[in-house]
Amino acid sequence: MIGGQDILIPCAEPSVALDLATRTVTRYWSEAHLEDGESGDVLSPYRDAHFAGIREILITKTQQASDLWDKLGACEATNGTLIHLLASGKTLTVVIDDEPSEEMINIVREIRGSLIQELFTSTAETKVAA
Amino acid sequence: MSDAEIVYHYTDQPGWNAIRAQVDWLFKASQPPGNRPFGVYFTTLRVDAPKFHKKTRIPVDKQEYVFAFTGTEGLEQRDEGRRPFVLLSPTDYLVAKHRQTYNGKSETMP
Repeated sequence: MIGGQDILIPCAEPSVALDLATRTVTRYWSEAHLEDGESGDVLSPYRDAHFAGIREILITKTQQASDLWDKLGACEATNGTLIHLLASGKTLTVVIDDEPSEEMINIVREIRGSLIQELFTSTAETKVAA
Repeated sequence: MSDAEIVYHYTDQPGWNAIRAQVDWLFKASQPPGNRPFGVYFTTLRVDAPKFHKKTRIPVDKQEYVFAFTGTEGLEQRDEGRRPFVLLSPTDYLVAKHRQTYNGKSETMP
């Protein structure tokens, strides 16, 4: 059975949404490990990550958690250690555990808040420019 | 999505034996954990795709065997923005023999 629940959040610009969401996650997970979800290329550390052209990011809590995922897949040991971000059109999808921890719920809440703010700002700027 | 696209269903040995016992494969819908919709889930990702474990979140013991078939008729690609490689049938899903391309160990899939 394929796992994980997909949470859809409206956004103005996918690459900006990926950036904002990644910054939010890395505030919680200071040792986060980042990978391009399509190529599998490592993007860590965060300061070296470039989001232009990237549509999927896999963020694991630590390098060790990433290694565990690659070895064991979804299991009790890897629960609560992976957030998968996908940008498509005007939507950011955040994939989390089927039964997420309180920390993950808080992270998603914060991502949603920052993207709504970005969406509002972007819309306001467009109106001013017009 | 092309009708020629290959679709995969990963399972463990008991699941593999039960499904392959029939000439036409019948995949049984069930309730996944959490709040996800009832149904049977498929993917367009091969097991050797980059970061397969992380992208599908399928437990390793449920990746050991695979059924592969052509076409996506009757399968829903979930809403815009959701993982595009995940397909769902909200009811039991039958795959007739002419659509079947492989069943067996995932690691030996051609």
